[in-house]
Amino acid sequence: MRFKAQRGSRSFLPGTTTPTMGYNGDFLGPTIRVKNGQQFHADIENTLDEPTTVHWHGLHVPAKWDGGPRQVIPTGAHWKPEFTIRQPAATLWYHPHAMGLTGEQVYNGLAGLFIIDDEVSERLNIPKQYGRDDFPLIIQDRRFFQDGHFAYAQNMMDVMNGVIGNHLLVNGAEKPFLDVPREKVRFRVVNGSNSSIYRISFADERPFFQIATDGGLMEKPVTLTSLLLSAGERAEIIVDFADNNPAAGVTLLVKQFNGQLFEAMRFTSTGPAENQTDLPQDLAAINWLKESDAVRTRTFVMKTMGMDMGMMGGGGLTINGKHMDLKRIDETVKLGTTEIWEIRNSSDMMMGMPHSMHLHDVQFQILDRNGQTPEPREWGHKDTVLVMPGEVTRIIVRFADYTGIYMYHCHLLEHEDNGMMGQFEIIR
Amino acid sequence: MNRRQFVKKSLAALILAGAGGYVFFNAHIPHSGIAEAGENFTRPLPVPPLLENLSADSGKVRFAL
Repeated sequence: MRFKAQRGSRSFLPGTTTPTMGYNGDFLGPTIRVKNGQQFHADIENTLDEPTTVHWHGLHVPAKWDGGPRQVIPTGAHWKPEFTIRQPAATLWYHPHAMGLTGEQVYNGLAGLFIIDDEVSERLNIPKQYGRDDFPLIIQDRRFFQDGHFAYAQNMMDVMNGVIGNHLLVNGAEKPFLDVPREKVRFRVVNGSNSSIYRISFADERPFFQIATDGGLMEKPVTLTSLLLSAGERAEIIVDFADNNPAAGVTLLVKQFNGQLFEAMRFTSTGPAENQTDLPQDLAAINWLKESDAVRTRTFVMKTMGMDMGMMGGGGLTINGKHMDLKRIDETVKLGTTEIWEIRNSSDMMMGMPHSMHLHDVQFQILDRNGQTPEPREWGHKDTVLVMPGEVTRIIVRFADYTGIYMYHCHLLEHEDNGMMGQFEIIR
Repeated sequence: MNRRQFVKKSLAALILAGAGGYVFFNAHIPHSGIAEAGENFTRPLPVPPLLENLSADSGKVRFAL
């Protein structure tokens, strides 16, 4: 079996063909499924005509295998990461992360799911048969030119707002349907968009249960009627389709922040009603980090536009007033310590933009937003967090096991590609 | 013109240019929402193929990705 980052094409719009990228296919990539404790090895070949990387988003990995901008795979080269899985069950993902190329390569289709199982997730009585009652939903929006090509560009507005699409894709298809059993079904929802924030719900306003955040299972299911995910965030949800009307089905709605409302897909159920089981009320234990264990607090000011007016060169996208520079280490942290990172979105003037802060290598916990306890949907392990304009979000994070250089950045990919990124080094 | 006025004028010009470019750019993109979407729920959801542990003996997971 041979897998590679490659170019391809797919017909998204009737009568047109769209040039794409994919891992071992024309768009997106296979779902990797491993178990905590296993040794993971990959052989990645770059057959693109440009450099790329493969970043394991949410994975706790040695810095040299992180797949960030420091681990470039030149055209024609192979990259062979090998590391031990050392974290609990979770829905993670992988995507390119080359300097200045992340947005366009993800837009073209380079992304896939990375699922970790563990003894807890295998023991729980929750849906877990991939493709039967356990499905990935990779949600992305796209713009198209009339000839079918992706309309990916980075003019000034795209850099500021992110490239926001007017066609919504789920696993690479627009308005698909899925025939689901008439029972509880698990969805691993990924906001794989470049820069959109989604509010996800069902047209009949049915409640559902969130069971996992970015980094794994929560302590208890949280009942929701809508789910908010910023770019890069994930959640696992369980939806009960026992009452699904076979004729009408249930429609999934996705509302973009400041954008359109999409009928994203429809769930039909043609089979008989299945035996119902109750959802466990206790899912997984979480080791909550204590503020008193933090050795220091760092502040990160994410700013969309300053008076320096450097917008055209990305000059207005900064963290702590700085653009990303691969030659500069922005923060140095000590291995084995716990820190509080205070993330401020202080975009000034009329350029108030949400940001989605992502830290490589670690899973953190949200302490508060503007001093308020986060909503229950965020009570768990996180690697990406939405920070709205004017908001101050405090997270607590432990740096364990590995030394080396990792990234922190806005996961609105046009912000990342234009400088809203920094490097932290974990030292002994 | 002092520095503050220069900055204000530059900012206004830049925003106008950007907005103009945005309108021009978007005029060339077909927009769709609920009303304009083409096929409605006629194609099955693609489910990415699953890659699991390929090496049953050692507990090692080997992928060629």
